[in-house]
Amino acid sequence: MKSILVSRHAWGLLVPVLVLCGISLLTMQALFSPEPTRVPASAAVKQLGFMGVGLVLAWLAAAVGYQRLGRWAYLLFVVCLLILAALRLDTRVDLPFIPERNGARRWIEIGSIQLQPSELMKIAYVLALAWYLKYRRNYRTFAGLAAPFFLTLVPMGLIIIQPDLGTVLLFLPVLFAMLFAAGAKVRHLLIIILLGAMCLPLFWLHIRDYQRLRLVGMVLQTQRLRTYFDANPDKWQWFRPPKTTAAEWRSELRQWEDQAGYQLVHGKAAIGSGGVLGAGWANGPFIENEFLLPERENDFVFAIVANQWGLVGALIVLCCYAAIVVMGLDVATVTKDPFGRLVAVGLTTLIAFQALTNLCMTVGIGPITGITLPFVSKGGSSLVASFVCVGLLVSVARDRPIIMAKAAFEFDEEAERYSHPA
Amino acid sequence: MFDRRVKILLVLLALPALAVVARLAQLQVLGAAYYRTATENMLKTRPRQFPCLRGSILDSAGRKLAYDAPAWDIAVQYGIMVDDAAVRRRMCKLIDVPESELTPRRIAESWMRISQLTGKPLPELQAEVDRITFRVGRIKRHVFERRGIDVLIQEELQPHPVVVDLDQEQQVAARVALAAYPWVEVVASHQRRYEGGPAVGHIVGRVSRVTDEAMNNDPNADDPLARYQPEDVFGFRCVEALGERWLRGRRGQVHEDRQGSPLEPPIDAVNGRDVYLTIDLAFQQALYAQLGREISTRFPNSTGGCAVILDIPTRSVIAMVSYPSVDPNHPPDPEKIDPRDEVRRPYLFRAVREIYNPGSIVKPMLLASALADGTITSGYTVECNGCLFPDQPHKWRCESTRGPMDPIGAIQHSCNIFFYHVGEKMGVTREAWWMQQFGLGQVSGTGLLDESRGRLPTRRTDGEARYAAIGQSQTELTPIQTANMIATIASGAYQPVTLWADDPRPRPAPVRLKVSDAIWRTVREGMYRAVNEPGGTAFLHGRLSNPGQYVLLGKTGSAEAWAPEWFYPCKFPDGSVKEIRARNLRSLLERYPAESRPTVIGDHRAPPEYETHAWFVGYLAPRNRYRDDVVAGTNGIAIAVVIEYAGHGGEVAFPVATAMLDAYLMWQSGQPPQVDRGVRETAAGAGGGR
Repeated sequence: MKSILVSRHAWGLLVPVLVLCGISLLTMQALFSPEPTRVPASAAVKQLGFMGVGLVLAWLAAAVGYQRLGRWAYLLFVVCLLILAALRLDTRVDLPFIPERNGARRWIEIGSIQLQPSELMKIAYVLALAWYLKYRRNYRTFAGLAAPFFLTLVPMGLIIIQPDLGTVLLFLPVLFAMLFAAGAKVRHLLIIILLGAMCLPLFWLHIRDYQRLRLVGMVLQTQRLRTYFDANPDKWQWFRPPKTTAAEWRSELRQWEDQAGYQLVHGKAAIGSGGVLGAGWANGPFIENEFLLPERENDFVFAIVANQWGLVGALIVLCCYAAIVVMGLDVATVTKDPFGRLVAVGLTTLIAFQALTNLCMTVGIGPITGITLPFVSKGGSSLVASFVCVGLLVSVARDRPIIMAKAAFEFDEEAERYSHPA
Repeated sequence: MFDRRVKILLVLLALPALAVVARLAQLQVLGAAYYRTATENMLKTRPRQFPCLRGSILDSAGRKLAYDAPAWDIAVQYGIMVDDAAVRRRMCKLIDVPESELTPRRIAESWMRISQLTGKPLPELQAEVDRITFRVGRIKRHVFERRGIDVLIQEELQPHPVVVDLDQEQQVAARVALAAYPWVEVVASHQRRYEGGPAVGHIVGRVSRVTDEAMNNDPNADDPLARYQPEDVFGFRCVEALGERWLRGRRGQVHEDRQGSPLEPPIDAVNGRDVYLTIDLAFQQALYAQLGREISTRFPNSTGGCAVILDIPTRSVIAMVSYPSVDPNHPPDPEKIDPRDEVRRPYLFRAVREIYNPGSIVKPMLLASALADGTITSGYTVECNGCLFPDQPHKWRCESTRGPMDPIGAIQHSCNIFFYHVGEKMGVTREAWWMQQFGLGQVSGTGLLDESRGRLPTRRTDGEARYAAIGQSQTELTPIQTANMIATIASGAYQPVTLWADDPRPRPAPVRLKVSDAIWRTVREGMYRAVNEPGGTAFLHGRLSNPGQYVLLGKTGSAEAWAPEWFYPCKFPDGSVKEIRARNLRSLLERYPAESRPTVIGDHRAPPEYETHAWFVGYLAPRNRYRDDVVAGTNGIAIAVVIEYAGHGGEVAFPVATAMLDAYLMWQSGQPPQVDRGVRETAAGAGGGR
């Protein structure tokens, strides 16, 4: 496939990224400055600083090169695992650089800088998995899938006990996308998905009450269904959290809009009330009233964007992500290096899934998971990690080795073998 | 294949993206108007609730025993209590103070000023702050659990009271002195106050900050204006708890938009209903003072006592005193508890809570039962030789050798031998059944949650049957039950007791017992003779000073009881051996730290000064018709008096009862009841002791 989007100078990827960053800066300024047109908000300035750091790190990642990083991928992966294990260790031994917030340990605090190791883990995971898969063919067998899954489940396990359900949910789509692109049998992948679906009740029993309510939140959006469950608390038993009594469940349903559904209801109101053209930059009740939409600068920032700039603004954001995804996958197709291909697919899927999960939850067609919107949400770790992803994509596009052979992963199904020299 | 699969991947990613686009179109094009209205509704302020006053508790003459009085609290913004930048930033916006003004020095200064002004030491203020932050933290965790997001909650943006109950003068001083600290406010509030001191302390009970358990069992949980809120108080003991449902009231509410225009008609607060009791404050105080004086001066070894006076026709409590008691306005300081209180137990509402062996006071009831059952006839006679079995002269004995005893004589002389025979003939089952007919073994009907049911005999042996007939062993009753038992004998009918004059709950009608008039007359004659004729157990020990048209019928009792404390022979780690006096082994060991804790090296023994519990139960009846039923309009009252560990009922309890009845008759004749001001009224100051 001949690329028309990405040349060896793949910095074109930065165009949609910078548009998203611009939207982010304007939103931070609107949300945090008392006079958005005159006084720069400290949050916006801080965000700009993170963007600068992100750009530098993206350049550094591109300069070092994905292949050199690939050689260190396992080491990087193990280091990240150790850091995640240290977060867990903090529950037993109080480590000074790990703060606890609302019962979760997700951050490492070094002076005034806070890092979220799970963000670094995502990148290390993609590199390690791609390094593992690059010249193998055993994932064409069912047993051969065990190692990639093991590689995925270990960091997932360490992140889910933080607890950080949202980040965990990104690992599996990335794994499936990379295995799918690498040529794993679709039949095997479907069997695994089916087995995973069968384990869902176990998962359901072990998550927290609020997480259950968030997961069923999509259904509970309908007042008619809430009324039905209220009147028949014994029906649809499986919706009811296991440790909740019928009376508590009923009270939960009655207070849904004020409790578990608060965020969703208010997020939808912010998007909907924006209309086609929006309320205007730094304008409208959702800007003026910080209580109207909690987490409006983080997980629900898209609701504020859609409120300010309406459907038009929302579609621009979507188009930016579409451009990143198309260009990212294009990078994968133009390179012939198997490791580069898998890195490009993995990182692009990572950004795409993160954005889609966030957008779906904000508009109310997916469960609320606490995942940030890449490049737009406030916060350093996520932003910097997203920039590093872009830097690595650029590196794959630019530093791809010239391989005098057929392209990687061109599996000859009839011959049951790969066409490239392994 | 790779390219094909990447294209498939692209399509797979495009599908949810298209769903998002469709959803955006639905929300922003089709639903824009709906969501604009929804947003406008969200902008409306939440309804504001304002408090109501708790109802008062009044005596039968309308005098206030408990009421909500205006008071002021010093409240401090939550942002000052916690070190949270977000809360503090928001607080500064709300109270319009630059963040730079909130220096640690200024904050510390404000706490110092509060402490100086109110006399509340800084550690106590810190304890209050800890309590508030714990509570708010719990609410915040609950919100986080429910919503899954970390948001500032209303409680974090409000001032919380750290010093309560300032009077007018203090609040003015506080307003002036604390004006320099905008995060400190003096807010109007109200405080529960009690009149009548320790005399009514037990009856009125007290309020307490609402507990988790009370909130979980709130009958008004569905009413947002009536249900408990975390800072509410609730009736915790006695009448405050009994009348909780009526005393509480309902908060008011206003619901306005941001411009202050009402969104809904305002709802006025409805103050709690007043509760009128059947007791009379002045008479109650007179009785308490008298009981206190008697116990502290005449029976220094007594640990306390109580008296109950009931109106027989209505069974309403006229007075119910328990000594020693506590003043509900001044809850005891745990640091300054009198060591003697370990046995005196001033917090114990003896009249309804404590159970005692009744001793001989149950004999009239047992006689009526045996005669009604046909177990004995009115001609039944027993020869009293001083003991039941000649070969066991020290067991099953009577106080003296009385010769032939008929039913009336047996009551008059309180002959144990006669009642051993009666008990043995009746058996425990019938005895217990008849006790139930007289309201024993069940709560008396006041409705007080603190009330005991007492205990009826269950062991089906001849020995227990004999003991039950003289009110010992397993039979244990509360004083209010015994007063009602006597009222039942006086009127021939059982009815539950009431303490609440305008009780909205339906009241059971009197139940006439299946006892013939002739039997009642026999029993009442015995009780008449016990008090009024030579040989009666009470005859020599006093009489009413001015009985007028009334005559007193009654029965004395001296109940053997376990000592309230013991001597324990103890060996200490340093080798010394001492006898230590303690209520029980546990309380003894709790006095010493682990390293110097003694070991008990032998049997414990009772201190010699504790005698039997002295009982008297009786009633006033019209002199010319004392053997007839006391009916409405005859002004008959029943009394039960118990003085703990004081000796013989006739010598000890009877004179106390007659003095109380004298006071009652004086009060009925229009003279104010005598209150002895010389008696110290606080628990700590109450005399008596061992």
